Amino acid sequence: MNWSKAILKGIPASVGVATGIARIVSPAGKARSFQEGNILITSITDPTMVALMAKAGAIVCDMGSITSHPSIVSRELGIPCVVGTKKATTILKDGMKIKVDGRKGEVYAAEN
Amino acid sequence: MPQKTEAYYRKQIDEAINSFERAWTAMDLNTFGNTANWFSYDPLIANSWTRRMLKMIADLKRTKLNDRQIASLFPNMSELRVKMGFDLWTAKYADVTRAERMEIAKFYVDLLNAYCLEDPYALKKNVVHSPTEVSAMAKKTVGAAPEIAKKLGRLVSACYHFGHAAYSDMYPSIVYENYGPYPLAQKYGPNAILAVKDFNNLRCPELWPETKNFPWMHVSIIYVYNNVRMRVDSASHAIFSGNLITNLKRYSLEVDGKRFPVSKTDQISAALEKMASKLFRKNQSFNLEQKKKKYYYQKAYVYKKIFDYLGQDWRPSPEILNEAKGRPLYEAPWPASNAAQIKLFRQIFDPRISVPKI
Repeated sequence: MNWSKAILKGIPASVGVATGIARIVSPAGKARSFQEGNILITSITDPTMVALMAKAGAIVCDMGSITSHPSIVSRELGIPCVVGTKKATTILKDGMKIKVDGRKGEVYAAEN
Repeated sequence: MPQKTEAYYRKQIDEAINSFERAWTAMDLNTFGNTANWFSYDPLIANSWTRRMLKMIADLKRTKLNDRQIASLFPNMSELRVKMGFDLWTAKYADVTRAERMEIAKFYVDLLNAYCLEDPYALKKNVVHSPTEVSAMAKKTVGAAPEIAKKLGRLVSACYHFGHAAYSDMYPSIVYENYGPYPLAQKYGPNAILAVKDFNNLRCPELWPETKNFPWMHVSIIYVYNNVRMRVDSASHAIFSGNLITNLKRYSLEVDGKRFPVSKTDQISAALEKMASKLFRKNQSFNLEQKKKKYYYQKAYVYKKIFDYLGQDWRPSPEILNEAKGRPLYEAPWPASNAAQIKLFRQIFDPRISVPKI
């Protein structure tokens, strides 16, 4: 798999690298199609997403800092997390294959 | 024991403000846009809340409780620090004197110094256990593995989100507390530290009748990590550097005071996840007046044990609820630049100065 240059940069909040399918989740929304290993993309996580977070391969948020909920929880779950990207939910599309680098705070898209 | 002179309190307040600045300005305030937050809700009850705190402090002084005993009536030290910050903040909107603001500040300074063994305002750590207690906790731990660390991670996430949902994003530390880092002897591995993640009040029927029959009340996990750095800030956040899954070497899990098998944690995690989602959705469905009322109940719940001890009603008084009734949320005029925001935060927290009225 080849990866593009970083299409999104934010604050590195939890280390690790994960690849998977992006799933855009709206606040207090439901994502019935969310599968184990999917990448959770949202403006900011909330308690309605806690079960999704437990299944997620990584988390990417528009908002947040290293002390925000997704950052703290992803460190506990041992999954990469990038927060404060400002535009993850607009640049990333549901179903995209992406790579998240939680150490660099970068997100890459799969190239055909 | 230091003499509690005015110079002593000046130094203590400076240290507290330094710690508050570091923690509070590290937060992304935009993340509070969809939830109750102190800067929109607390100014609405500034007068009645601050008067209530001053009366509580005066009433406690008439009891035989010492500072450490009073501190132990709070859910934990993180919640105590957060309340110090919130109460100093709220007092800036209230019609009270400098002397009254100082009374509030000194109350919290005394409690934190009576209970914490170091770093009372959590500039870097949250330390309340003696070396003997740490040694005893380390002896309780058993060998870990990544699969165990992941199951514990899910449980921590579930407890954490329950705290957010049940007590709002402002008082989740009514549930969770992170103690540490406690350095351990070399026999526990390279750069070994002990951390405790403690979760309380998983039932709160006074706020949410839905939790009345929840089977578990308290989860406590002791961790021994190698090559992990840990910091706890004054807003109750734990910031870890290093992989918490592969670097977990030993652990101990207790639920309601008894050892609990990690293999059975999924049932607790799933139940907490479901309850967290349910309570959050319910809160989000409230209208503004209902949200305000719930938030003030959550705020008052922090002091429940104190008011129980005093033989007084812990719930927000009619004066508090009436002060907020019908008023729109306060819109804080934050300055655009980071430097100006830090300056404003420091001024609001500082009980010694009367300006700015914001």
